[in-house]
Amino acid sequence: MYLRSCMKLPLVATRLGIVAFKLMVAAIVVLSILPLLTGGIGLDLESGNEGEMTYENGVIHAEMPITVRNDGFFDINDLTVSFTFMNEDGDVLAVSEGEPMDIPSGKETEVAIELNLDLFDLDREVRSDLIFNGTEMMFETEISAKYTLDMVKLSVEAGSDMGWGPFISDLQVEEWNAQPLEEGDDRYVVVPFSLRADQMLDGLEALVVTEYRDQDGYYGNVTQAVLLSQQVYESAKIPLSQEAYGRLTNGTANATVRTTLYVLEDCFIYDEGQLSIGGGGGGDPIMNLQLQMGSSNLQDLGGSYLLRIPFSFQTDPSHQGQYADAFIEYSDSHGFYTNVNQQVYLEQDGWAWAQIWLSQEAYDNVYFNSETVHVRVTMNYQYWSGYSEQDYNEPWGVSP
Amino acid sequence: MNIGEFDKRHFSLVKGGMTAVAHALKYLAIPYILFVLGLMVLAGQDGPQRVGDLIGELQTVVLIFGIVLTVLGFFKGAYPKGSYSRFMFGITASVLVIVYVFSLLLNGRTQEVISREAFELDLNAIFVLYFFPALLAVLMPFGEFADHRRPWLEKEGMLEARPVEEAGDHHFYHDFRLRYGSLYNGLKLGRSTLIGFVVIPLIIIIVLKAGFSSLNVEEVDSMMSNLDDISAYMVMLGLPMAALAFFKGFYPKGSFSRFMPAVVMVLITLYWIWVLGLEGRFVFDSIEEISLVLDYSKLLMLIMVGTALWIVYYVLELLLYRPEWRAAGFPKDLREERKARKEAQRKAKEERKAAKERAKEEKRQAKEKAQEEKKAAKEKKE
Repeated sequence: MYLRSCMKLPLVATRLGIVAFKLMVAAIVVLSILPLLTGGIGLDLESGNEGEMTYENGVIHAEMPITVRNDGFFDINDLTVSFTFMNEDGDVLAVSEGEPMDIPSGKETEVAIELNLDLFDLDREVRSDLIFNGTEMMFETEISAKYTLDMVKLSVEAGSDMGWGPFISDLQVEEWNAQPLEEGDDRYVVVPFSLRADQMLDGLEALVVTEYRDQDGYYGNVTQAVLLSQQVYESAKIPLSQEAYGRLTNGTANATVRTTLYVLEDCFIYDEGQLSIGGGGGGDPIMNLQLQMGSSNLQDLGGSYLLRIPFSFQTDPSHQGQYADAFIEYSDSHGFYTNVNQQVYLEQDGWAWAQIWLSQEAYDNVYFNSETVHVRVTMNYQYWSGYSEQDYNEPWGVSP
Repeated sequence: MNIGEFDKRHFSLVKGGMTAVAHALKYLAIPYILFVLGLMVLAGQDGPQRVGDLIGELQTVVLIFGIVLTVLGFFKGAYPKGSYSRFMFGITASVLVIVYVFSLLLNGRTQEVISREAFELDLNAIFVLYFFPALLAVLMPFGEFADHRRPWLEKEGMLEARPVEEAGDHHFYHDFRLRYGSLYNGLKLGRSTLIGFVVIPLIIIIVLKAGFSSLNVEEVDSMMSNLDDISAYMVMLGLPMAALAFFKGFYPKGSFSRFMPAVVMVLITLYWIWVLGLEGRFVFDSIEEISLVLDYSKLLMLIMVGTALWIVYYVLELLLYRPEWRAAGFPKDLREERKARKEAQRKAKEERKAAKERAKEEKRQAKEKAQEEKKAAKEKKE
């Protein structure tokens, strides 16, 4: 009998083994689910550092730090965040693969979600569009991680459209500001141009080619490197022959200038204009352009500072009812510089307000230190261009 | 039918009382207490009156059927297995249980109240699902009667005992002889498999679908479609499993006829787990532009490995029970007979032990006698 009972022991042991195995699996499942139900696993977004974009060697890099809290019983392994960029047809343009990270259990781990868009992965056309015009790109985000001793893998995919750029805008040849220049026997025409670049591209070197062509077939150009910043204002100094220079100054050149900006080797954009130096016809369409600094005021809008500067002008009756461009620049001796473009309605006795946003530092300078600032307004209308500038150091009253 | 089998000399008050208590708990006390608790919760939360009324009516049904089933249970338990008396009371109780459950539907009013207070739940479909295992439950008293009739008659001396079958030229395929099987055990296991693998999953699916439908959200459409697919699989796999479970329960431990369906059942169960576990991959992509994929195939594999261990168990069971079954003359796997065999084995063991001790005692006495004789001889010599 005893022997017979002993013979049944393997059966009992197997049954107990199966039960133990099932209990173990059940425990694993329960211990996996429990932290999810009780909020033991969570994400905290870092409020201070929200996804600032940087640019380096053709790669746009954005990083958003998050804190993953894992109070569960198992490590979270191979947490990966990847992005896939696609065009409207769903063709993959670029892929940004994140580095796999491990989140140990019982700890809070800071994880940097990284997005890397290599612009050189994009076609030239797409890249150019992205830089100069801005574009909508479809992108898919995939977040994957392993849990429960790597036995469970969770992947979440989310797709969306994303507006990008433009990163470089407002390239403008200021042909109305072009000036002939004589240096000994050499003759030049100096053509200012301006552009804006996203802060992300600060310091990136771009190439600018400015070409001059007149109706007699004269062609001249100059190539120069510019460092991109939020506001670029440069001049191109194009060498001219004596004859071309003469035609330009006596108003018979009928010349055009074209400024072409090259970035990332093969992406370019250009702007061109008709030069009208010398000659010309009739009187000035706009007269007596004057800054009215005495009427300017400074406003504190709860942490944002707005400076309002009026300027006045008079318009020739034949041009009244039209619009002119006004470019207002503001700078102080501490290196703060800002500008604003606006359209101005031309009337007989015109009056317009320029609204300029100041940084905290620039505001403190003018409000507490009686800083002397330099303001210049340039108006452009058809072939005409004129400006008014002033240094100003009267204290501003601040209205809330 | 032999009316004499209703005689009180076959009647056991204790056994009847035990079955009556079991029936009272199952059909009267537990449902009644649940309804009382339901009423208390309802009163605490100031619930709707019609739900209170419904529970009140259900309590009445429970009281009536519960008492009748308790009485029937008493008489069923009091008579011995294999007797017409037990069979009659047993089958009456089984049929009455179906009527009892049907009465709880209150001609559709239960469903109507649930629909108004929660969601559209098809109680008729659930009743139909319940009906199939209930039908097997009706057949179980018949199985029990068929299994125990001869042993009981033999025990009562109304039938001559059948000689024990010799193991002589018994081959493994002889294990499939129907006379080795227990109809009751087969029906019992088939029924529980049908409930576990078909009825309960389908009821859960019906409830889930009713819940999802009440949400009126398009996003759950694909999940509903998934549930339909799973339902089909549950039926396709569950019915063969219930059939195999019948044979597994029908044949005794140690027989190939039990081992083979048991192993096939384990294999189907593995596939059942794989299907019910959505092949280890849950995809939720109903929300526009967001898809969630949960790959738990490794965990599912682990569960399947745990289940596959049953194959080892059944191999061991075959190897370990087979000699015992052969030695006992290939009997049916009846609890009473098993108990009787064990009792006989215990007695045999005690007899062997007593004989051994007797022999020991005789040996000791002989030794003492020899020593005394030796001593006496020595004294005589001196």
